[in-house]
Amino acid sequence: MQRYVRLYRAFAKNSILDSLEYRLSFTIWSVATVLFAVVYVLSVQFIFAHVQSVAGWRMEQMLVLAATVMIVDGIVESIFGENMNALSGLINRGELDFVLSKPVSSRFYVSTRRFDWDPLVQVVTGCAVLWYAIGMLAQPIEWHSALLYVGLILCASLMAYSLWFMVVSVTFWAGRLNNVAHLYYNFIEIARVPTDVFRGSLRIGLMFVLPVAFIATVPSQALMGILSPVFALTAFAMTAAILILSHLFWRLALTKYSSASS
Amino acid sequence: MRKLFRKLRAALLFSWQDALTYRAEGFVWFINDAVIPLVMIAFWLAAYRTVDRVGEYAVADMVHYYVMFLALNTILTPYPEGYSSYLIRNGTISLHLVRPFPFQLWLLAGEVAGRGVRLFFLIPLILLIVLILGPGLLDAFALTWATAPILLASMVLSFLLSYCLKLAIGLLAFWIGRVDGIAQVFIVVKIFLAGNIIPLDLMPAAVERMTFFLPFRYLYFFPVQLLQGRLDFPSALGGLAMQGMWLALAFLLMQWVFAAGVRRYGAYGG
Repeated sequence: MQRYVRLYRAFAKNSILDSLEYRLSFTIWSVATVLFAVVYVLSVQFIFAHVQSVAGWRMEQMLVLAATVMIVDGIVESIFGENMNALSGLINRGELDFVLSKPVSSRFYVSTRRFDWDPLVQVVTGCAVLWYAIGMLAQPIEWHSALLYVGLILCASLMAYSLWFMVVSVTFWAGRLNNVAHLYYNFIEIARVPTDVFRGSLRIGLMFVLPVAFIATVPSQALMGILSPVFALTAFAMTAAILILSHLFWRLALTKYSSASS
Repeated sequence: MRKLFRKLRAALLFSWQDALTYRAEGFVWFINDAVIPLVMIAFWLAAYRTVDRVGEYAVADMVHYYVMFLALNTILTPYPEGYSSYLIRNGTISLHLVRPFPFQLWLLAGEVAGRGVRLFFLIPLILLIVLILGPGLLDAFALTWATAPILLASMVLSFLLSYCLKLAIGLLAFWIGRVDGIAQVFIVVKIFLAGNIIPLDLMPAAVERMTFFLPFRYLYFFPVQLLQGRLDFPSALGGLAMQGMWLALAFLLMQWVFAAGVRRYGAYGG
């Protein structure tokens, strides 16, 4: 375990040095991120100028949801984003050989090798939007709700990462499918609306098959104190289940790896 | 001139086969352009459980708006910025600069073929939506014989306008290498001001007035308005004129960036 902490520290340091070389790129990405948050908040306000509530969600609650998606997405993209985007290339070109021959867990290495500093800006802007939204809420936030929120954000990040990891692992079977990692961004787009807007089997599916509900809707409800404890427990159980499932999936996928030479 | 057309046809055919070969990747990109309108349909359907009308939109108009937006967004949005900046970064653009066929036209052929292949995904998707939500959705169509030719023209202009603007961004790679940050700024502004999230006429009046003087309104919102019969003949012609003016400006900008970039690029390789 200690070895992995040391290793990760080395990875992160290496990534900082690398990103310091692209300061202009960092600045432009920050502008894009802040602009996105502004546009997002404005869109919510424009929509709610016409309607009181959508599927039971009022404007300030939608803004809490918006902020939550930004925070989760920012965490996932900064820790795992670059790695997930690079993974299918590693598999296709047979460069996974260099990873598999190293004395560390291959999943750890391919998931965390590069830390991306750009999306951290999104975590910061997400927190700012959250602050703004909380100020408009009718009920003050309870401290235990806030604690549960942090826990559920961690669950959401782990779930989103595990799903992303599994989707990219499909490359072992599909061959050339370099943009498969992009499916993650569509997953995030669905998380931007409360799962309550969907109906029937689609809604059940977005909770337990493709667990979009746990990315932002469930954490937001927890923060506002309107989540039933059953769902909170379900979120923790689902996170554990998906982590294990993705681990098994990776092991299975590795048996399909044909390496560079064969 | 005839020679140029023969080359263009060859480029189109080549790109078409290329797009067909990599259809799985094409499908992922297609989903990427389709997801926001699909999510917004679900969102608005929930909103209409408590209200009958939003602005001038009844529920059928609203769903129709996003379905049509989805159709136009998926087939009229080129992505020349990624490939052009890639070619510039790794230097392979040299191969294209020495060919007796303009690079801008060659890339355009690739984008046209790439969007064309999307019809294979788009048509089944629209049929599926109509199947789920019922044929009442199609009542919102109000295209007349007078506006149909304007619609066709506006679709062509919209594609070319996007192409020129985005290629101009891609060509900035001659100076700064990575352009994905700037492309992202463009996409964020476009998503908002083109009507991707909400119809522009549901925005506050002051914001909507501003969109008349920017190019984004004419990319998808203007053609969708034609499809929904929301414009009389003079304002349809007026919109087309604005589109044409923006295309002319974007084309000049793109050509200027290209010429300046190539001059700079030549200075490196010797």
